[in-house]
Amino acid sequence: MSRERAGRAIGLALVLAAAITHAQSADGTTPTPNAIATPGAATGELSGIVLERGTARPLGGVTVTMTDVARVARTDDDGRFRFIGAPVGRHTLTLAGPELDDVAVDEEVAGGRHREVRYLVTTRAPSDRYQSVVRAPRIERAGVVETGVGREEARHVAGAADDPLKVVEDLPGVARATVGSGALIIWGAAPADSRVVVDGVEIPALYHVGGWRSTIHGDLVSRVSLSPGGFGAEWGRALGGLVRVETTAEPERGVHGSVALDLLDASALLSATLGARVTLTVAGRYSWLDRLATAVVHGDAAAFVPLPRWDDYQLRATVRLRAREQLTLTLLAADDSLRRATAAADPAQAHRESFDRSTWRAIVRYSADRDGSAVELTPWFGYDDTRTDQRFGPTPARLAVTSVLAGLRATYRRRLARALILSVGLDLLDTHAHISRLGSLTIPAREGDPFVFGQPPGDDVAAADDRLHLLDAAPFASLDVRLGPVTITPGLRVDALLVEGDHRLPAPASAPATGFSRLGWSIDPRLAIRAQAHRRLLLTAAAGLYHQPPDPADLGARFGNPTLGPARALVVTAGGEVRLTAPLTAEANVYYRQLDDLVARNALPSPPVAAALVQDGSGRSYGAQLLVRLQAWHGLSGWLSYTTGRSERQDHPTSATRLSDYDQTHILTVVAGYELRRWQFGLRLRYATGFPRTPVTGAYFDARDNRFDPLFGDVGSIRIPDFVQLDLHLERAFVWTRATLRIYLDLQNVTYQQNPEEIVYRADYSQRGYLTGLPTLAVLGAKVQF
Amino acid sequence: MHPPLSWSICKAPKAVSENDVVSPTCLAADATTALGATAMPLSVRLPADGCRLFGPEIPPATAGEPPPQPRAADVTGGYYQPLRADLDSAATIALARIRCALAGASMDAATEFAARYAANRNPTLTALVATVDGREVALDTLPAGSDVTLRAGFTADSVESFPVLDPQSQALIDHVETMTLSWFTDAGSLAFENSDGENRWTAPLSPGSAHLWIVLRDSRGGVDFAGYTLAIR
Repeated sequence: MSRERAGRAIGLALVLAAAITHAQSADGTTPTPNAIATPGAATGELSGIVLERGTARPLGGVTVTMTDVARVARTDDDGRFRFIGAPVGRHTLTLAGPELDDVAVDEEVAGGRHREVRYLVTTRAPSDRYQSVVRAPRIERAGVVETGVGREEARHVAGAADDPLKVVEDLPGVARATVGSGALIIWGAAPADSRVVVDGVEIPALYHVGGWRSTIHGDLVSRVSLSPGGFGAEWGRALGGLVRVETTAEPERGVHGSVALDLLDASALLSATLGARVTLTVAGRYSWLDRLATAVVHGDAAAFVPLPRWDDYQLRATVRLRAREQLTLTLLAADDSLRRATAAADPAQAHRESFDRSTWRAIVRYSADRDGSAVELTPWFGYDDTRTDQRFGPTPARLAVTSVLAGLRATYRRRLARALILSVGLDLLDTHAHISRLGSLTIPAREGDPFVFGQPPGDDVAAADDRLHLLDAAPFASLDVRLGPVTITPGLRVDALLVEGDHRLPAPASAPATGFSRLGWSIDPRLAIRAQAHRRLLLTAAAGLYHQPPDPADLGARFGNPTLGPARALVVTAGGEVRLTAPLTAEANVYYRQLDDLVARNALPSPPVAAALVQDGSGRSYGAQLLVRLQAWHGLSGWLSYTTGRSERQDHPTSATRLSDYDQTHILTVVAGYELRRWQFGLRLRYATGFPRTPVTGAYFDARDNRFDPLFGDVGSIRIPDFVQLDLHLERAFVWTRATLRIYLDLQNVTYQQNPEEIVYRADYSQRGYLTGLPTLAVLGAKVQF
Repeated sequence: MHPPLSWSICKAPKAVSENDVVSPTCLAADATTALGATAMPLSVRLPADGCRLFGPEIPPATAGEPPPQPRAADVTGGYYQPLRADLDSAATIALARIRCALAGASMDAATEFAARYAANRNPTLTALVATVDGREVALDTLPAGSDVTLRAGFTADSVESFPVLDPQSQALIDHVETMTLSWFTDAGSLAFENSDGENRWTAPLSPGSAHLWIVLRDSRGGVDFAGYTLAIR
């Protein structure tokens, strides 16, 4: 192969790695033919070095595979690899490793010759603007079983409509959420029990209300990782899973950006370098789905599926102080709004509802990495405002929560010895919440409440106005100990939780309020083990305790209980990853999660004062998940994920065990993508068991309100029918010198499957039916990148 | 001749997690006190512990336990004693408004409330008027298959105003009752089950008779009703 041709090939690989679709210099390789050894021989030798682009740092642990002859080599600590006795001919080499997306390049092996190559590859460092990696479920820090999905591949997943973060819904361990909810249900945990963090800072939600879009512009995302359980000591305050989003902003020199339009919304991003050290990126999005979708969604679905309005804005400024040292300011803001009304001839049976959420975060991040140690310091401030107003006939219901947050995440990692890495840090979160509630104690519904879609809440109208202060300071430490092929990571996290409130008891107007303050501790030991049992087999296991502070809205004296403490989870997981061939891997994990001290409604018909909620609940989730993944192979990529599990709850020690509202027995997702020149084809097939529901077994007539009220059977003893949906994605790229235009069509529910999403009843509860979800929905969009 | 209604008084307060108006156990025999078959109109003395079981009065606390939380009133400030009526196998719950002391109100608010609050009176229906094509017709000469506009109303003094202790501000707020008319028939079809005074009834295609019932409810549990026999010619 000529020098020029080789350069082009490696350049192509770099372009793939960088996932940049427009023109980019290929400064990658310099293959250097070596001296002739044995002309005419049947084999040759190919060796080389893999370096990080930009820093020339040798990349160890990179798997280099000759895919056509199943030869595998692994780079050493100096980034070097070697194939001895490689068959003569043209071979496709793939490079795969924890720090880089898989890349492929063609190389020629000549008989009796030694060929030396040098690959400069782009890693998934946060500084790489156009990198995006979605990590499949794994054990954080020590489990380290990671599967990556490049941003471009994630973007092309059918149903994502160009949003790479939507791919989280398709990963194993994540249940299929009810359409329009946008909830993340991970390993059977309630959505409120999982956390989403951006650059280490918690945000209220990964998706906007309705689940149509993520709350962060996709081009700003460097990576998102999903850890469904068993994560390390660095992370806490969650009984369920953890979704971590890393932003990025290190563009090429000059000005870059994108503008995108589709049926859902419009978005734009602009990035510019200011001098040699400063990079500034701004992005924003504004939706119009609610105004366009009424013409697309039929009435049945429109009554059930929220038609929200959303917008979000991001600003990121990065200052490179010195080599491997930078300061970043990130501002995130997102707004959601939803309006829904059900008209009725009788005003007493009309229903209207509004939901508004505004949130912002200001994050400063200092990071330095040198001399075998790494420091990250992330102070941040935030503001969340969520308001739900409902009116069921004359009965009002309102919940407004305004929170002012401040936090600090500091981590320090140091390699103490060749096989010993110490991590210590502090995770601090300070929350001042103002909670205003009006209405029945039955609203909002809690997990496990028997309910019928559309049923009015109780007619009692209570009111409360509480101010809460929660300060959670959590020092943590972990140690990576490498013993040959086995890495053991013990960790410890200690959460000191200060809870203060202005109402220990519901204060009548005639008496002054009495506040409360208390300090509690929770100690969470964690352990993770990773063993490279074979060059193709990695085994992992993890166990740990996890505590989650109470929701401030549950700490009110009238609607909740000011004495609530943290809930606890014990998580045990084990699994393994097999690399069947270079592009084909299989991962399997089993999990068990025991939950204690869960908050549940007081079962007494007349609960004691300030005890509408109690902490008697317990539960467990267990199951297994499988991920079979095909990395890019001749333009084809995708995965099959299957999760089976069971999630149970027991609200009180004497009550019966029931299924959790979020139990899904089977979740199967097949994602496939195919790239042919400038065309992209995507397919997604989903199957999921329906969520449990409580059956209505009878009814009686309420003569005062002129309506029937239901009588319920066993909680969670029936299910919504199974969900099946096929989505397709078609995309064409038009590449010019300075810009790329992508036009895509995202076809959701192409078979017009009438998937039941909720159970509904006739007014007298004599007949059961279903609300069905979205019809076939075609999202046509265009995106220009420059 | 219909069998008589069988009445009973419910003794079970509902749980705080219950969306229904009463506890499901009110549908069980052991949670009710039977009044037996009673001729209409029903006249019964309500239990003295209604405000404790279903209202804001705090039940006796168990020794060593904190006192129970007083119940909240509905949007009209009302509390209700559930009554159950059984006809064959069908159960109906009626809610009788009971007058209880204000919970957590200041002395001034309680005094003002006691002075201003008047017990609710049942509203009064006015006569039903039927029109076909804009012309008033007698109820015994309704054309078969015709669209009949039915108009019912209530007397002016049916709509009462009353003070309610606002749970947020703990101040007394004046409310005005809202009225709802419910319509029932055994022949033909009604356009609405509930309305604010006017409804449309499509008469059967063949001559005969039909029965029409109208129930008028105010927002504090007051009720009036009337039944009509409609003759279709």
